[in-house]
Amino acid sequence: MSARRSFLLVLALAVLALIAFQLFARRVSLSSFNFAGAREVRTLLDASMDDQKRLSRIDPARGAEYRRRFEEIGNVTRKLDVVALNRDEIARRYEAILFAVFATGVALALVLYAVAMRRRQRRLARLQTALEALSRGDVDITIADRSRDVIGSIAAMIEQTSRDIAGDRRRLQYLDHLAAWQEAARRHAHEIRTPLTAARLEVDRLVSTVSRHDAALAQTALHAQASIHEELDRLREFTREFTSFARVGQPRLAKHDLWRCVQEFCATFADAWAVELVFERSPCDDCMVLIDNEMFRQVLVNLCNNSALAGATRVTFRIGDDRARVRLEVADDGAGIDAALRGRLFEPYTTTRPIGEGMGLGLAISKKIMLDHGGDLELVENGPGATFRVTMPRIGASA
Amino acid sequence: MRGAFVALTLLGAMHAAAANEPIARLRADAMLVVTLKPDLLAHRDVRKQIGSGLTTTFLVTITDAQNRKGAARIEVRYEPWDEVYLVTARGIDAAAQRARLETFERLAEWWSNAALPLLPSASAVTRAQLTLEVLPFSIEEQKETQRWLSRALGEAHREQAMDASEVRGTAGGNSVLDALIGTSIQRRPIFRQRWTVTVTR
Repeated sequence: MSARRSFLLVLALAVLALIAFQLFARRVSLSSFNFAGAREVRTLLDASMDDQKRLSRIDPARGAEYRRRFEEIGNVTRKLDVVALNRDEIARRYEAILFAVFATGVALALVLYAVAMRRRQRRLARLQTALEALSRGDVDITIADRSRDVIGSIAAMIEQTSRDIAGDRRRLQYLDHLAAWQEAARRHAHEIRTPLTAARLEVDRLVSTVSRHDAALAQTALHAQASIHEELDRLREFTREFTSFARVGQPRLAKHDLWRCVQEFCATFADAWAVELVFERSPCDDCMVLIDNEMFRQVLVNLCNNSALAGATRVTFRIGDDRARVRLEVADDGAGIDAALRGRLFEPYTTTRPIGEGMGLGLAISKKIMLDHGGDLELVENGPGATFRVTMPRIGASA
Repeated sequence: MRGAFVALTLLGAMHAAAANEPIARLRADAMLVVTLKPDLLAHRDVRKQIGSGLTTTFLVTITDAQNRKGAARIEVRYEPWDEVYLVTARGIDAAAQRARLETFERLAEWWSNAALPLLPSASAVTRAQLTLEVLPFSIEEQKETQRWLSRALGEAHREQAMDASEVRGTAGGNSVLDALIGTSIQRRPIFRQRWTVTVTR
């Protein structure tokens, strides 16, 4: 039913109520003011006056008293007569006052209803606009309706949906971007690894030939071979890192208690770095999550590794949750992240370490792992120290 | 058929008006005086009202061709203890005529002879518009009843308020009651008639 029809219906009901009220008020008011003209009252008063007159004749000594009573009754009778003569007018005015009060109340209610309907229409129009924007593919929609009624709930859902879509798009964009990097890394690794193997074999063969023909040069050749191998190993390590980045696979999800996973990690890796691992258990009624525990550990290792390299002495793990997600915050007291790097922190090959001391792939791999889990990895606080938030969907949550 | 009925009704009304038409005459001092017909007292509503014990007021007003106005009134009250009619008549000259009449017949007789001074210096007046209004009670009786009813309803309202421990708002309730009573208990004519009279000399 449209707002206009609804308003007309309410208006018709209000008019009916007014008519019903008027009929009721007429019956009530007329019967209320009928007492003045009631035949029984009048007969009794007349009889009483006659009695006083008779009494005065029978008992003349108290004549003055009977006369006074007679006058008193007469006074009341006359007043009742005046009221009876004006009965219809009194009833009419009384009805008019009641009707005015009732009609004012009804009119006020109608005005309030109309105002509420108009407000509701405006809110629905805003919802419609937001839904149209959502259907066009717009994201980060803000409706700014914080009411707790159905419309407010729908507005909150639309905003949440648009945020989710925006998040999904960013995730997909990142994964696409990362996939391109992975493909490049895979090709680079392949292109380097093939000649690397051939070079190693050729060097070995050359050293063997030289050693067989010239014993004097053998020692020098072996020394050169070791040196070349060392460089080739460095190149192999380089390609291995490329390969591992390119081969980050899809997680094999299994049900795990996050709290237990983190606790085990802290126990297992307690001596891996010169960093104290602290697990602050916070209230989390249900921390069951679907994760690939090995990959999840790799994420935590990467984060702890970065913290250790940033000079942290303590890494703290905290678990929190909301209706849809479980969060694990990993906070350290290290040097923090360079503000200039923050925008591209999760891009591959982003590092502050000197060349040759790391490829800057750890955070990119970790983020990809968490995105593949349906979660995310974000930097939430920077300085003092750095705090990363690992999120993953709660089991059974729709989002 | 319908037209004939309307014509007959109008003729009847005209005949009734002509029957109780007052007599207007010019006194020697150029005062226009009016004498009302006793038929008026026999009118059902008037007769009933006169016997009620309230002061029935007969208000007579006159307007001449020059739009000059004059007025007089007769107040009749039946006194039930002594069973007499107390009558006071006042003309434009403010002189009061008082009478104490034992029976309705004596009242009718007095009525037939009462000349009400209505318009002074009326020697040039030949025809005038005369209006009679019968008011059922006096202004004093009106005020007395208003006070009585206001007090009675006010006390009932206060009692209700006390029962409900809602003493506040009593004044507001009373003011509404007073307004209701003050505007509804008013003297409204129970009978009204208008004539165009010819002044006799």
